[in-house]
Parts: sequence; structure tokens; C-alpha cells
Amino acid sequence: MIRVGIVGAGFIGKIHAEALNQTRKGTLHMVYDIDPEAAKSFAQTYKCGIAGSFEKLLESVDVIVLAVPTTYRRNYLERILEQRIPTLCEKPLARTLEEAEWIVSKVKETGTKLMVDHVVRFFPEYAEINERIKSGEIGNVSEARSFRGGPFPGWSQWFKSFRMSGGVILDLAIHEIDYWVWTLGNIREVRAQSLDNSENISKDHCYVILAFENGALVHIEGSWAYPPHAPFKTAVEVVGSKGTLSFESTQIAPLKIFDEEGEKVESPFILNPYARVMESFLDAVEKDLPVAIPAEDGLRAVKISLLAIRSATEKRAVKVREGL
Amino acid sequence: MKVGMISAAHVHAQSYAEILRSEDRFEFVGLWDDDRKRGMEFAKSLNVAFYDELTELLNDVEIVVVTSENTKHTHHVLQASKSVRGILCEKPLATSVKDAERMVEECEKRGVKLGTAFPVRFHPVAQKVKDVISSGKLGKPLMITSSNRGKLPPGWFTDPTLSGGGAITDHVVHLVDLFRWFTGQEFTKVKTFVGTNIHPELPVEDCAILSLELGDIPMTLDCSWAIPKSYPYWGEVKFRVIMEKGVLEVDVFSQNIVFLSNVSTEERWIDFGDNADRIMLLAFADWVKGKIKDFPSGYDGMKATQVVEKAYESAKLGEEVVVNA
Repeated sequence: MIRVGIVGAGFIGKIHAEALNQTRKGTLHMVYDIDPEAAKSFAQTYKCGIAGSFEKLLESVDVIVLAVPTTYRRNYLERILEQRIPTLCEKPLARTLEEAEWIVSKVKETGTKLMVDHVVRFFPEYAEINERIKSGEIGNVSEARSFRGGPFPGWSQWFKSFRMSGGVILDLAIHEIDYWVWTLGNIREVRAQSLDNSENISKDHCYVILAFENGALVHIEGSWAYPPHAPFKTAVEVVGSKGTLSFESTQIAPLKIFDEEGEKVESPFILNPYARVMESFLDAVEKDLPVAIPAEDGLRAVKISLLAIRSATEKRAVKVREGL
Repeated sequence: MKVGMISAAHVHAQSYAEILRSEDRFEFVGLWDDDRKRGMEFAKSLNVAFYDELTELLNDVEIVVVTSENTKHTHHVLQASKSVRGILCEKPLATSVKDAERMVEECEKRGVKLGTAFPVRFHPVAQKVKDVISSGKLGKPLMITSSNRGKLPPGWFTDPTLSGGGAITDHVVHLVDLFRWFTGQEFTKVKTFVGTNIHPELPVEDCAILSLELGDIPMTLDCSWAIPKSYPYWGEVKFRVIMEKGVLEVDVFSQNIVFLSNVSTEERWIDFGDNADRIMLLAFADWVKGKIKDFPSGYDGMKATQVVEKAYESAKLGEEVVVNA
């Protein structure tokens, strides 16, 4: 059984712990967090050991799930990659292009397995649409519209800081950017707008229009603009020459629970998308296969997201060949 | 696990057969059918052996899946119980309580595990609902409204000598079983409102709404073949549970992507949810091997049949009738 160590006991670290619970391939061995109290309560909930130091974790586990805030990833990865420990790294791969490029070069140099958690590719509805586009079922894609969003992620302070999180484009719209580039290929131009690049973001919304080399146009929206109890929602409509595919997540959620706190929507699976990512990653480690989402894909998604941020900041369309 | 299939009559045979063929856990040995032509075509399309004699198939397998016409279940299950370890019988288990009881008794006597194919229980959505109800966080269920409606089924489903009845026989058992399982309670009363309203030429009912009591929880169940031909999906399993501290709204088979053709007027829903038939068949294998304890048994199938029988009795008498828990 593969011993997994989670670095970062926050919101997404807990989601990975739950994902590990659903799979039989690996066991949650140890957690590390710079906040010992956070690590302690995490370890109690998910029944795992606590690493007193990051070094201790590095010595004790077979693989790592890196679930720290975006700006810290590079430094943690420096030590992880030195020791060639296979890692599932949260998205975005890094906060800056330089950091992301450095990570990719180190991954190559050390030959370490690193998978970027662009989990949207593992959501069954998104995977299904990707497959059907690639099989030619809807013909040539002319355009797609996709939405992802809900309330501001109030569970952690660092999202408020554009310097740390990169705001709604780099943290949220990047999911869609990765998905559509994975599905449709290279882009040539991008135009984006967002509302708040400050150090005190409390609400934001963005659009990102991607023009693809094959002619397809994709309109992405990412939102942190909904009131606190609004459900998180995703929606896709993709138009091809032979037909369209679409869904809206809250409309097709099989389970709606109304209680004192409001309305919760759920879409249960045997393996949730995070567990599917975990299985894919652990499978690649166990069988020594290439990972499903390599560091290069993480770099590409960061690069396009930063181009979109540049477009929003400079208030103009940006061509890919201009670079960053 | 060596598995055989008895009859390709039921529309679910196709789905089960594809799973039995593709899952490593099973060795799909072959199929027997009393309709030789139907069976041979089915076996050929799946590339499995067709058996001329049922007894030969039964000798070659450890478990069987019975997907014959409803009124033949009893005969096929009783025959199979003489030689196999496990039998998964398509729902409804039987078309009378008397038959169902015989099946349960014979299988028990011979130490054969008899299961009833209630796949909805195995859908992760249903599992989640059970967890929510059992957790007690929302208190107790106070009232339930439910519907399991579908399109008019083909062929023998509307021939009462083979189906045993219409929409009530076809659809009541799923939700009856699901809510017995969710709550651990038995149905105590039923009043049936029924008609052959949609397709008046049919010899069986195609439209029915039941008013029930589950323990003391009021419940409605709509089992009509009311879904139009042009509907982009096979039908629905939907319900609302009013709880002491909240409400659950459930549409079990709603995990769909909409496909709209640009070359015809076709609309189709693509289900991206987990395949409940597959989960059920794997669980059945585990249950026969004693690895798990919870599986819809012959007894559960019999209890669902009992509600169906009482629903018809209510329709006949025009009165609310008591179901003996």
C-alpha cells in the first residue's frame, strides 16, 4: 500500500484526505502543516500521523499531495523534487511563469513524477464531453460557453490577496482554461476582464474569451460574485457542426437537501472526481506509467491564465505570440 | 464466478449481459431461452454460448440471472434452485405473493441465495439518501411523494398472461423496495387510483397513482407509463421526502448531458452517472460469496410483490386496503 503524505491541512487538503478514503490504492500516512493546530485537528479527523517537520514527512512517505497556497508551491517542490518523491500538486502549478517554468525544468531534470490536479478533467460530465468531442460525435466545434462559480472562497484568507492567489482568473477560471485547451488544442488570442486585482478581494467575476488556432471560440466565466449561501455551479454548452452538448450542474444535481442552513445540491458517485484523480496518480506511481496531467500541462494553463490577467490589466486583447 | 442467464425476454437482460461479459469477476458461460430464436440472436450478439437445455446451463454455472417474462420467474427460479448457489431474479420477483413465498422457501431450504434485482438501491444517489435519512440529522420522515414513470414498454409487458399486469406490476416495486430499505418500515395501507387512460386499447392498466402508508408515513407513488415517446430519456425515479427538519428532493437519474442534434431533430440525454446495474451485479456476487450482508433478498422481493397484490385488490374493491406487515 502506497503511503501518502498530505502537505497543507486546509480546505483542499481535506478533500484529498476524503478522496484517499474512497480509494483502496493508498493510505493517508501523515499530514504536515505550518500550523500545528491545523495539522492536529486534521490528523484527528482523518486518522493519520502528524509530521513535526516537513523533513520528517519527506522521510516517512512514498508520495506527496501538495495542497499549500499557490505562492508556497515552488519552495516545497524544490525539496520534494530533490528527493524525487512522486507528487500530486494542486493547481495552479505556480503563481508566476518563472516559478512554473522552474518547476517543469526540475521535474524533467530529476525525472520525478508530478501530476497537476486539474480535477475538472476527471469530473464525469466533463470527461464525457471531452470524449465525445474527440470522437467527432458533434463535428467541428464552433464555440463553447462555460461557467464556474459561486460565493467567494471565504474559508482561507490568502484568496483575498491577488499577489498570493492570482485572483479569480488564476485560481478559478484556470480550471476551464486547462479543460478547453486540453480538449480543443492551441489558442492564438485571449481577451479577459476581471474586477479586482487588489490585496483585499471580497468579490470578483471574470470572463475569458479564448480564440483557438482551429477557429473555435470559447467563452469562459469564473465567478466569486455570488452571495455566501449560493450553491457552487458549473455549466457547459459546446456547439459543433453536428450537434451540441450541454449541462447545468444545479439543474441536474440528483439530490437537493433543504435544511436550516439553506439548500445544498449534491451529485454523488462511487468515486468522486478527486478520488478519480487520486487513483489515476497512484496507479501511475504503482505501475511506473506517465501521469495523466504532467507538469507541462500545468505550466501551459498558468501561462494562458497569466495572458488573460495581462489582457484584463492592460484592457486589450493579447495574442499568444506576444508572450508574457 | 461462472454465471448463466435465463431468457432474454426482459429489456434489462441486455444491460446485465453486457456487464456480465465485461467484468473480470464474471465468466459469462451462456444463455438459455424458451424462445429459441430470441435466445440464439441474443447469445450471438453478445458472443456467448446458447444452451438448448436449461438443465445443462444450470450444471455449468454457479449463479444465474433470471430475466424471463414476469409470470415465468417462479418456474425458472424453482428449477435453478436445484443446482446453483445464487439466483438473481428480475423484478417483480413474482406476480403473486403465493408464488413469491414458494420461491423464498425453496431457496432457503436448499441453501440458495435468492436476490431480487432492485438496482435503484445501488445507485450512489440512493445510497447517499439512505445515509442522510439514517443519520437522523433532519429528524424523521413525515411524508413522501414519489414517481417511477416510464415509456410504454414493448411486447409482452402489456400481455397480462406473461406480465401479470400493467404499470402497477412493472413500476411499483422499485420505490416500494427503496423506501422499505430507507426507513426499515413496512407498508400498512394502500389505495389505488387506476386507469387505462393513455393507451385505451391495452388489456392492462397504464396509469396509476397509489396512496400508501409506510408504517405511519403517508406516501404517494405514481407508476404510470406516462412518459411520451419523444422524451429524450427512458423515464424517471423521483421523490420528495418531507423531514422534521428539512426536505429532500431527489431525481435519481438526473446526471445527464443533453445532446441536441444539428442534423436531425433528435434530442438525447447522455447519462454520466454510475451504472447501478453494474454495482448491483458486483454486489450480488459478493453477497453469494458471503462477503457482504446487505442485498435485496427474495424476502424483499416478496414484500414488494405483496404491496402490488394489495394495490390490485384496492383497485378491484375501489377501497383502501390493509397490507399485513
